[in-house]
Amino acid sequence: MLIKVKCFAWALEVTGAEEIQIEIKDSAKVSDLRECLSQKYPQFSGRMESIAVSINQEFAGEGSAISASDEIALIPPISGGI
Amino acid sequence: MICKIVETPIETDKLINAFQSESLGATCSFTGMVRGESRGQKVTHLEYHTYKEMAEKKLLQVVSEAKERFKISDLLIIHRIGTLQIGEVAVFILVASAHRDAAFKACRFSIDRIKQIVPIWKKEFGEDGAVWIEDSPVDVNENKSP
Repeated sequence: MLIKVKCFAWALEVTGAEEIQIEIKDSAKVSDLRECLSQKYPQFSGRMESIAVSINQEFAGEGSAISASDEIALIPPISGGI
Repeated sequence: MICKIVETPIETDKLINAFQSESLGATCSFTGMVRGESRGQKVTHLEYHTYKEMAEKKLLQVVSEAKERFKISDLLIIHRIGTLQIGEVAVFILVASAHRDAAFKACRFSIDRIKQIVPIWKKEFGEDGAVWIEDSPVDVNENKSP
């Protein structure tokens, strides 16, 4: 299935786009998404672990299932406030 | 209860004045302002970026968690995004409660929680270029909505 992934902060600088499309196996999990991203963007190497993944605006664990209609985003370490 | 992400300057005086009421007892505020120095380097300005839809949802989560934990009567959280110059207000929190203890604690809790779960990022611009500040990788297990 083809999924859309929103990218923010330095994850956006790595992919070069606010939203990317990735082909991923059906019934994929967050861990599968990480694998695909690491292959497509080697620049994530060594930093992938620090990125959280959100599904439908909620933080998701490694085993969370992804479907094509989900709103998925890459959330690098956050730094709001001062 | 108000929580917002804005792109315009935060007018703290106006917000405080609008917050006054005889029934409050205590108010406590936190104002986070852009510093001109960071890690020994001169800072020229900051850029705040956000995933707005999720950040607004997570700010609401901060508010509801603060209400659950502390006996407060009102809470206002405003975070600014975009380009901010030195001295400008990036985040403002205002708490009202009948007694001081809850006001202090809820104020502290709110700013700490923002840094844990609200998807906002700052990029620091200095003489040596720009760098993304990474305060905290999100701990997914501890940061789900209740």
